[in-house]
Amino acid sequence: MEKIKLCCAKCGFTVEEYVADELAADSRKLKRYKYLKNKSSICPSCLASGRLNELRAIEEAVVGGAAQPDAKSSAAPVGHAEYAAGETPMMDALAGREWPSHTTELKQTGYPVQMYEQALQQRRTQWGYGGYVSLPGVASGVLVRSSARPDITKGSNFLRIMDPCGNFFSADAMRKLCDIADKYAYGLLHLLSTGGDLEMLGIPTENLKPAVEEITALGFDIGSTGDDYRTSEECIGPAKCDLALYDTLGFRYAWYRRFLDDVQYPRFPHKIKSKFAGCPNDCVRGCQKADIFVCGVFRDSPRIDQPKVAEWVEGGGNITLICSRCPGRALHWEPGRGLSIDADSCMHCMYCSNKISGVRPGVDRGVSILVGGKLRGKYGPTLSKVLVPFLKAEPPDYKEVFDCIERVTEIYDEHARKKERMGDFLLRIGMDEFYKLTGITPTPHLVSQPRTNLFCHWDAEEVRPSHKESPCPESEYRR
Amino acid sequence: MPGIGIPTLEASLPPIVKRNYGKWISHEHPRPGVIKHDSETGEACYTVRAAMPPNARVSTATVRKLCAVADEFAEGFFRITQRNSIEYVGVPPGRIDELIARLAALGLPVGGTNRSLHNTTCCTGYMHCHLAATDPAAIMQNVSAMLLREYQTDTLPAKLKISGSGCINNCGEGSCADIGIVGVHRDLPPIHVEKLKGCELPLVISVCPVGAIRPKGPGMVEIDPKRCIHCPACSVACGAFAPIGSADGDGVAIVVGGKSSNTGDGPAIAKLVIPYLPNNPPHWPEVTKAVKTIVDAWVANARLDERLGEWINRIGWERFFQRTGLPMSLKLVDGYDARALEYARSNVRFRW
Amino acid sequence: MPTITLSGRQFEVDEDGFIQDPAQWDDAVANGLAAGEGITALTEDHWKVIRYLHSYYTEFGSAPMIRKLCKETGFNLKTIYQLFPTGPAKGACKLAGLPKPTGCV
Repeated sequence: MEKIKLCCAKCGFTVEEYVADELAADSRKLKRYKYLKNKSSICPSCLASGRLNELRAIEEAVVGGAAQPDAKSSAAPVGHAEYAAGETPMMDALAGREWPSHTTELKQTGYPVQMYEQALQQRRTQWGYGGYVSLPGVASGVLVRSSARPDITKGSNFLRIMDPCGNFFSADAMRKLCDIADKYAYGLLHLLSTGGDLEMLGIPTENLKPAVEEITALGFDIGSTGDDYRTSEECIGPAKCDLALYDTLGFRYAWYRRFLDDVQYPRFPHKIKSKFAGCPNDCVRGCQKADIFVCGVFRDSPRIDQPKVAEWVEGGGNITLICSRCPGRALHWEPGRGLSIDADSCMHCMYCSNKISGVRPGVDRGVSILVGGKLRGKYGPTLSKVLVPFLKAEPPDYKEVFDCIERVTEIYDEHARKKERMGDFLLRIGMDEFYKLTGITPTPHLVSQPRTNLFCHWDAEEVRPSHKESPCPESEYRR
Repeated sequence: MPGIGIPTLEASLPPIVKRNYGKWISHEHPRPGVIKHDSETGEACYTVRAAMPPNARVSTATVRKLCAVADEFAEGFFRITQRNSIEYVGVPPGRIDELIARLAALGLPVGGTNRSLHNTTCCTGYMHCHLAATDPAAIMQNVSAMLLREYQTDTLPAKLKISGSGCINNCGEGSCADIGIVGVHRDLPPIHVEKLKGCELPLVISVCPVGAIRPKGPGMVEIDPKRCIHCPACSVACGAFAPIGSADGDGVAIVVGGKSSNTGDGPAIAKLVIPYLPNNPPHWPEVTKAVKTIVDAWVANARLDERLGEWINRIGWERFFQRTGLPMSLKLVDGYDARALEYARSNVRFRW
Repeated sequence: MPTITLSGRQFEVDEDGFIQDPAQWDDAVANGLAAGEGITALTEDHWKVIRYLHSYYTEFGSAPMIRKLCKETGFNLKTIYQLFPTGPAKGACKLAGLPKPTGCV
């Protein structure tokens, strides 16, 4: 059917849209159309005022609902090459500005641009629910997007490629990945997903197997979909940072040597995201996002190189600001005597090391393990909670840390319900119960404060006076 | 076939990193977009950081150009940062200007270091997702273009991170950032009765965070419209409850004050300050205006090294709403879970 | 709704070949769909997994967790993945007449 659109001359926003036949039949609509067409009006999108442009286009009726499954009887699919030639006023409005544009990129690839253009015009995503692809031998790493607009595209698959350590890519390897993307897919790469993968988009089902074979032949592996360990993200660490407290890159490499099966063969109640930050600056947002968060920490005071600090202050360093913004108020600067740190007040937060040239983190270094961070889960966002305040991270196999993490995930696997994220599981069973299950010795580092209610549970055997090892420290006080 | 694991460090790291691995002693920011690291070997490493298109979603044609730049300026390597910037590591100091000009010719502005707007991140939104209630990529294009100057200079009070998610699943990490733009649905999910037969109903009932989905006779359920919070949990769990949303129902919420670092006031999840703004493609003027309002109020009032959330912690929420002029509404008061009473106030230490 | 014919019987399936009514399921479904999941012939071990999945679903209306599946069938995870190369949550469930697994989130 023929459609008539009145669009903003500046940004292309469709202000009103009519079906040509209806317009001819309905006098009220015709009146409205003529009124809008001949009048100067303000675009509700870009707020520019002026006359509206008229666009006429032949469009197929929108097929309602999800993809029509009866593929065999329906007409042959419309290739997206035809649609690429269609008008894209919305996408054009997002291009040609000073900030790099994703629409310019999409247009250089085989991506069915009308899927995006129509979504912007209709203010609704055009992708559909679900989809399924089976690729024997590949248990994880392939995802499907089905289409709610089979007239534009039938849907597409994409692959999650685990990124190399430090997200460093050699140009040679990247060019070969581009070759694969051009040969088998849209030629569109998502260079780093927020989960830490490189995604290759738009691979027809029949191309999946050869694409996976070529990618693995190149030395990259796929995985990280479904209820498994998702791709772990690490901060740049010792590769290019003076603050890293442990070798995050080596740790991640060791992680994949030990847990690769759990990354590629889903088996847990829900996904488990892991992130490794080299220091409490947490550049990987592990505290907010990760079910398992390994964070570098140190226990002694930051090391001060007094001459270097003095030089930094003389060079214009704002030492007063740093002292006043120190969260523990632990920093004290006195000209002539130098910088001092009150160990009782220091929170080991990294602020001074970040800002002052000449202050570096201490040398008694290790890692903390935090669990249960998430941004939705069932009950909304939660920050991760400290499980182990300090462990030595011993390369090359980090056995102690990994053993601890494995114990946590086994307990999660054993006790959590289906589709229950670690954070929701902790909320349901309670942190005290979780510490008991994992065998963690309680220390004050585990809590921000002790509980304010007195609703403690005591097992009968804890109450029996004959019990030899009372968990209550009362006896120690009596001595 | 899969099972080989990730590439070795040996294969993925550039030579200058291998020479100085773990030997860095200090860093400084000689100019916006450039970071200098000094090593105990005496070597200095210059890194140049540039923005990427929203979502780091790039065509192979562009990637090949980025590779060519890497060959010319950075020994054939580049890296993608956690915030989707591209970094060239080990650029000879004499060639930084040349590299910045080359990146500008490719349309990539250099910046995003120290006290500046860091690169904006977002999820795929309308481009490739069936749950999206908004299109964060387009919003980020607009917001970033608006704040380009803040990206290229480092004159903000502290770093500013802006992220966008298409729905409250938050794959785009909206709730992690100083300012988060999160798509929200406001419609009830549909129930496609004909699809319920192939549906794991016990799972759907259990994933609903408010118990709004109730059994109604054998193999049938109903949704309590009074309880539904429009999270797409059921739409994710079963196709009978998808798709959720509509053109006029969907929109954008804005959250502020998220942060992951332990400096300052420590890690925090962002808090809701605007419950709904309409989707208005392609330029989302309401959203960009709201972001600008919040950023301007922060820049005008915050102290040095005070992230957005820390500024609010110091001045209090009553001052935040006063300074930004944003309206307070009942939608911003948590009535949802066990923490609901915790967020209501007990002290009377008001700021009038 | 598209249909497939297996051993002379017609089954309603969705766009990805999952049968729509688990009550219709019988051995013919598993036999007919096996090749598409990379399985050449269904052995007794396969049947043990398939029957367990189907009976669990009939009883509880939902797929069992993988840990439970391993425990009840006595196969370890590796064996399950060898039996069903597309995995227990995908291939094995499809053969046993269970609903399509959920999306990526």
